[in-house]
Amino acid sequence: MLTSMQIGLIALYGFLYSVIGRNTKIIQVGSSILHGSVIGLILGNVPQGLVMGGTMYLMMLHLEQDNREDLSIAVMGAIVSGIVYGTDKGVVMGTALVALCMLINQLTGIAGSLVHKLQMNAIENKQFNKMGNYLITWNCLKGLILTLPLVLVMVSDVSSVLAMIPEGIYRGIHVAVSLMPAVGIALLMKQGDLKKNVIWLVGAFVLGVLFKEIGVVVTLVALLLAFKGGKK
Amino acid sequence: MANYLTKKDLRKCFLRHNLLRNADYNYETLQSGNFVYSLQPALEKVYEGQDDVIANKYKVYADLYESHPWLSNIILGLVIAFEAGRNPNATEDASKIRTSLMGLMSGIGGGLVKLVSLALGVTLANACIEGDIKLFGIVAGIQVVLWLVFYKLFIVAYEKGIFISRKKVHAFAENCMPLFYASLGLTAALVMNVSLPVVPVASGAVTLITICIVYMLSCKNVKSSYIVIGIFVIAMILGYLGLLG
Repeated sequence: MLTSMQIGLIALYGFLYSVIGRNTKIIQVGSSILHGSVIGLILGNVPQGLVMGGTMYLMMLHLEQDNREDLSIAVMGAIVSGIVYGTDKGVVMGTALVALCMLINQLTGIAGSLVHKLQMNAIENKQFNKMGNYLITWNCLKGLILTLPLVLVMVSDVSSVLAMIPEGIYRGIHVAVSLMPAVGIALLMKQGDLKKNVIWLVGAFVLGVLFKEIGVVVTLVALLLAFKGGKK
Repeated sequence: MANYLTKKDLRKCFLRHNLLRNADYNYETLQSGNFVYSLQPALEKVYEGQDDVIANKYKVYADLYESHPWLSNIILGLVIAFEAGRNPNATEDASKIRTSLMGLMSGIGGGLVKLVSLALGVTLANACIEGDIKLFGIVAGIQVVLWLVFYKLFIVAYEKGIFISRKKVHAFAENCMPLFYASLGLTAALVMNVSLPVVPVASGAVTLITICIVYMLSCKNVKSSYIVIGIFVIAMILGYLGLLG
């Protein structure tokens, strides 16, 4: 079982990562290994921490999501469970936590709009220093909210709680989260002159669907651009 | 041209940009709240006492923005350089360069990280599972150095940006736009391929339909936050009912 000191230190690490690490993103390759090392150190079992960190990193690589910040707390939860109860239980716990962490992240994204509105009000009223206050306060509050699943994993048997959530809810969260990048793409499309550049958008899209290999498509697009530049 | 900003001012901007990058991340303007906050030390020094001018500039920069964590520093450096020139068209030019570069920088940064992950990922993970942390130490060390290099590039972008002419900005922005849209097209294809692997054919169509609907709604000036909440709720319901996912 975990001691209060260990719970406190891991929660503090999770909080600091959510408040600072998610923003600076200094470590983008292998952040799961970093979490494994730190949590292993706190729990006095660095080798198992590394096993869990490495395993989670492999899973993230497989999902092509190794540097997704919204999954970092789920990874930490999996590592804690893996060290305390064994690798298998850790992986199961991590998978169960992913949906919960994604949902919390989505909700903080929606709440972020409100903070942005407060920021805009401060600009409108020429109270520029308030902008920073809102940002810092919300960043800390968000850090606490995001760390909550990690604390739950450590203080109670979350798996039974998570098992009570109907499968449909998980499926719903998965679909909703999967569609969010499409929303971002559509909003970005409005940023420039779409009519003038539609050929590039459609062309890269078609090539991306046909080849499914980012390297090939990037090379083809770069060649076409170079050809266009050369003709000029 | 007078240089109003010191290294200390620039460092303040850099730290704000890096320490609170995703602080008010939202689906309406993405990371622009932090971008505005990062500009504060520079703008308030360059346009000291001109609160109306500063407020108008903030409003322009509060428009949608997102880029790669490391390379975004270069964009910030350029924008500060333009503003430091106190040119009447500075904000228009800087905003143009910001929009044209954000997609490009995201692509380059994301590609760089992906490349390292592809080349080293499995070896790195296996070494850790076997208890050898040396390789991770080296990879982490390289990333810390890269982060510092991008701080240096932020300063370089500022120093060089001061001398960029308007004509060059417009030419560059025009040349970058095809890349910006190509990267969006490619991202859409990738999202389509990986987002809903359970039903790949349907997911592709759903992703495309979502992109079209959101684009049309945003062109009709429907607030992005309403669009996001709407899509989220509909997707949850469809997923719950088993019609998707």
